[in-house]
Amino acid sequence: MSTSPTADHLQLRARSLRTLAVELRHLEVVTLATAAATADTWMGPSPTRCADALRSRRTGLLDQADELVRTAQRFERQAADLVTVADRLAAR
Amino acid sequence: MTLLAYDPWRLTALGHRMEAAAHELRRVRCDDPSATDAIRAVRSTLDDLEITWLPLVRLIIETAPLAGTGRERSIIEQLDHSLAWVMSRGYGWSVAKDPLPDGGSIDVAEANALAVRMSAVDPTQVAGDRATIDWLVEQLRAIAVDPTLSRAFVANFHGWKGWGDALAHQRAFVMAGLASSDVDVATLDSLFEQFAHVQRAAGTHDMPWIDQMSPYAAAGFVRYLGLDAEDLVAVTDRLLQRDLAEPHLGAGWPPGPRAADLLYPVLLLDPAACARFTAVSLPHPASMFTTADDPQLAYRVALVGTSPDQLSIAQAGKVVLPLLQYFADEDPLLHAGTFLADLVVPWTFQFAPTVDDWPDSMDRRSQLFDFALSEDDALNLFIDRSDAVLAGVNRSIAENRARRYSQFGSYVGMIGAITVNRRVREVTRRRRAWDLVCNLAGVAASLIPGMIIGVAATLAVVAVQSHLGPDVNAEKHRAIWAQDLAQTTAAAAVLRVVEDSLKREGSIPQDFPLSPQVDVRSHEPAAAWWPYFSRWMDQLPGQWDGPIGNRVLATVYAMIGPYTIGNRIFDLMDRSVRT
Repeated sequence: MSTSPTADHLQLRARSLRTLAVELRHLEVVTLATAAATADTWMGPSPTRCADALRSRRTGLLDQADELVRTAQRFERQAADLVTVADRLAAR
Repeated sequence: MTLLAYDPWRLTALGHRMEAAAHELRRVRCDDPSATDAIRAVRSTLDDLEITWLPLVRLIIETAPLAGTGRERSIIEQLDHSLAWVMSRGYGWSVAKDPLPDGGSIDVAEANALAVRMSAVDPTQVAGDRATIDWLVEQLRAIAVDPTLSRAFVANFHGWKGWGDALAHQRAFVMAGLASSDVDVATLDSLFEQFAHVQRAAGTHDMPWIDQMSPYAAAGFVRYLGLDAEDLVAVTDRLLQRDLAEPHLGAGWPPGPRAADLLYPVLLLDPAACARFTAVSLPHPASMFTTADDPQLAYRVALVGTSPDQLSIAQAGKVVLPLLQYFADEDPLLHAGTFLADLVVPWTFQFAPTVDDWPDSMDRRSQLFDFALSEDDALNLFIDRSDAVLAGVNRSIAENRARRYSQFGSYVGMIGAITVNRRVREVTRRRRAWDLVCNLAGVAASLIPGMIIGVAATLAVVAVQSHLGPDVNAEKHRAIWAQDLAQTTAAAAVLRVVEDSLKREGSIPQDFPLSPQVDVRSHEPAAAWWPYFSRWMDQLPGQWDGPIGNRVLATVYAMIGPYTIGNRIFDLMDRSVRT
């Protein structure tokens, strides 16, 4: 199997993005939204607003994690295509 | 000022978690250009935590909570701080001022708390507080739009009786102009309404509180509960019976509207409910007619409930007569005005002596009918509503034409005895009364077997109305005279129609003499008319005993029969037959 500098770079970027996606999904703040909304901790207008805000942030972070995975998959496909082309050229 | 309640230990733990989360967010790194948006989301989240929420939590933890004594206690005890109050008293939480204003939304915990708090406060202290009531109306309105919130509220609210009685008491004094606060009836009714809407939205039909509070208070809620006709009737009947039986429930209240005044307008929106309620009230009519501050409301319910749109002829007999009997038996102070006349107007035919639609005796029906029209105003109203009288007659005829013809004579006589009367003092009304008699004569003509309806009636009315009405002031004004006049008029109308028919079919020549009309100024109209009628009969082919004569007599005798005219007409008939 041949290698190409470009394909290697794309795979490196894909790994980096996947790592970040995993990190985002496991952030403390993601579970914090649930904790802040728990009715056995605090009640009132501010607690409600806090829980709403953290829930919104949680959704935003998880959406970004999904987007990072999709981008990583695209990079991985492009890298594989480059390898295939390089192999065909080498076979001639 | 808004308040928040918190568990100090748990909030401290939440603060620690926020700090850890912020620390973690600060460490998130990625230099890939495709991660720019993700890193931006991380930074925004960190900003939120560090700028807004962590400082808030620290502030709450580090600030001394509001004390449960003195002025701060009174703040916590305000109704709009129900959630803080419940969590503080019930769970030992701390309470602090919330730096953020209330967003206006309400959640299940707040609905629960409000219900618990409202169950604990003294509603008499709130009923005169306009600001608090306005606030409660908004809170309950917000709860009522959500079945989950409503169920939570209803499950935790145990103050129906206290609140109902307090609001009703306040309403009674506001209505009487004796309340010192600025709360008006509309505001109080809004609170009744929102309470009821919460109950409706909760979807629970178990409402024992209706029978626990004063009927006036219960009515305040019930009218907004959207009950179906059957339930509304049952509840209304129960409340009004209680209102009558337990007068102490409103003791000390100023005169003014009571439960019936609130419930009858709701009943009147549904004619079928009015009919049902009137029937249900028959065993105890006093609760229907003596509990409303405005008796006209009860009368309207009864009139709608006994209208021909709601009752068949047979059903009406079971309702109208007992109602009349109740008023006839009652204290004369129970002055019904023209209500009783209105009550009998659609059913006059059923009161005629020979009409047996209702099982009651002729004497009882006659007495009750006379009673209904015994007041001058009632008689005048009866005449003014002659269109409704005629409509009732036509409904009765439609049921059984053949039988009605034989009953019509006594009916015309009865109406004549009532309407051609010296008690009717206004000239225009006298004219209208005479028109009613003439119209009934026309109806009688339309009933002649084999005649075409409409044409016959028109002919008859034209025939009898060519006369002026009787001068009642110059007559003896006996009922028997008016009855005689009405029946003779009907007989003359019938005769004119039969005569026209005989001419059209060629049984008598076109130039045959016109049949006689009635002298309305005669002291004995039938006796005066009979000789002319006899002479006319003598000129018929075959005279009295021929087929034409028999046909004429069959129709005329149905009108001018023996029932109420008296012996004089028998004498005349006998003489005619003998000759």
